Amino acid sequence: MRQFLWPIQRQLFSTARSAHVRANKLPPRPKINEDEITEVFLKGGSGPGGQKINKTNSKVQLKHLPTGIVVECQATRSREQNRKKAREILAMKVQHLHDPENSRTSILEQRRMNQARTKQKKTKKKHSTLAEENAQRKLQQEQEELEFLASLVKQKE
Amino acid sequence: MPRLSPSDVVKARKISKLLPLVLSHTRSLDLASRELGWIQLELPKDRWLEACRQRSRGRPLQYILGSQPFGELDVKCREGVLIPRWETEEWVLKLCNAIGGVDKRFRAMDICCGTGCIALTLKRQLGCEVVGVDISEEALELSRENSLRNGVEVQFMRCDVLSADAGDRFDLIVSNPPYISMDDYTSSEVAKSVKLYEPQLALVGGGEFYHALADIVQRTKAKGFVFELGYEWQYETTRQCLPAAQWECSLYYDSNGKPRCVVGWMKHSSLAQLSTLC
Repeated sequence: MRQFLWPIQRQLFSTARSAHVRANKLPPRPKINEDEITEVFLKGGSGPGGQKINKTNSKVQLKHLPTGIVVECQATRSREQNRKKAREILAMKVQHLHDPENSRTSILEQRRMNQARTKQKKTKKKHSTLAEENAQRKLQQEQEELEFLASLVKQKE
Repeated sequence: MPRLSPSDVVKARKISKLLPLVLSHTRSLDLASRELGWIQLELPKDRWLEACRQRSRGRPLQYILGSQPFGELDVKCREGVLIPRWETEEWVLKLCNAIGGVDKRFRAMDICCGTGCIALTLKRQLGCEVVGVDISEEALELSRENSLRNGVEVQFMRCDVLSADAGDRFDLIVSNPPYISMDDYTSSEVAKSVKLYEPQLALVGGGEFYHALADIVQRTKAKGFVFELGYEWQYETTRQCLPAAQWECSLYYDSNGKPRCVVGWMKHSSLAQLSTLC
């Protein structure tokens, strides 16, 4: 019984809800309509095929008929994987063309830029505080040296 | 083989120490970098050098990495058994789409199953009963390993196609028999790496296989079949072995425009939809 209650209790007193919202902030991946595309498998050349030769790559080329966008994918060894990836890329491109401001591509780009900016800021801040600390330490050292010298002079007198 | 340009070798060397090794076999910088990427992705770091050395000697990448994707499956590959080709993957997936739903009593047989890729895909996609047969014990063992690896249950048995006396009933017979003629096998038609590393038993064959397969189709009272082929005359051979009054045959071309399969179905039967394949 305790086992069943535990997750409910945890949810009630959770303070980490904001993290859940953050993960879903990105817009969903766009989908492509299968009727609007033509698919070609590029094998390259007119040489022998079948058992006579053993190819390792498989290139998938998609063309979006309404817009004329062409994408290719040959990133993996699996043709099925390449087909899926090519569709993802094409869907993103088509979405970007129709609505450049709110497309997943531009939002991802925005996020990347933001992240880079925050990182730069952080390094800058770190460097400036380090430099400040160094300068202060130097000043202190110099002062100490001066004081020491002054005490030496005093002793001689 | 096209001559390798020295500038490509220099470029490859600048990218990675290992790349010129792969390049010496693939002959294209683009493909070489992708192959090296796959080697580095799938093998531990201490095996990269040996893998690239083997690749430079022409050992098939699928044997080096030990696998080849086939549709949804990840098929284990090793020496002694033919590596599944993209042409086969293509027609098998099209065949599954063409047949669509079948009832539970539907039985399919894959003759010369090799790695078991066709049989396992049929089982996965159609859910029907599938039996795979091969003459090679090595192939059968690998087929069983692939069945376990992918969690697809198919029965594999040893059987010589050329002297088979199967009496069981099957609805569909599929096969990727050895179909390269000896003339082509000894010429430069067949890639050197194929001749050096893949089993001749799974590659070289003539019309006798298509005679035997047509015979099995009739004895098992099958309603349809798909056999991969390399030459158009093998289609003629198969067609002539079957009574034209009951059987319809057609030639299937792969997406490279090459004749690749002979597809046959019994007229007015439930498998007449195989005609949509061609």
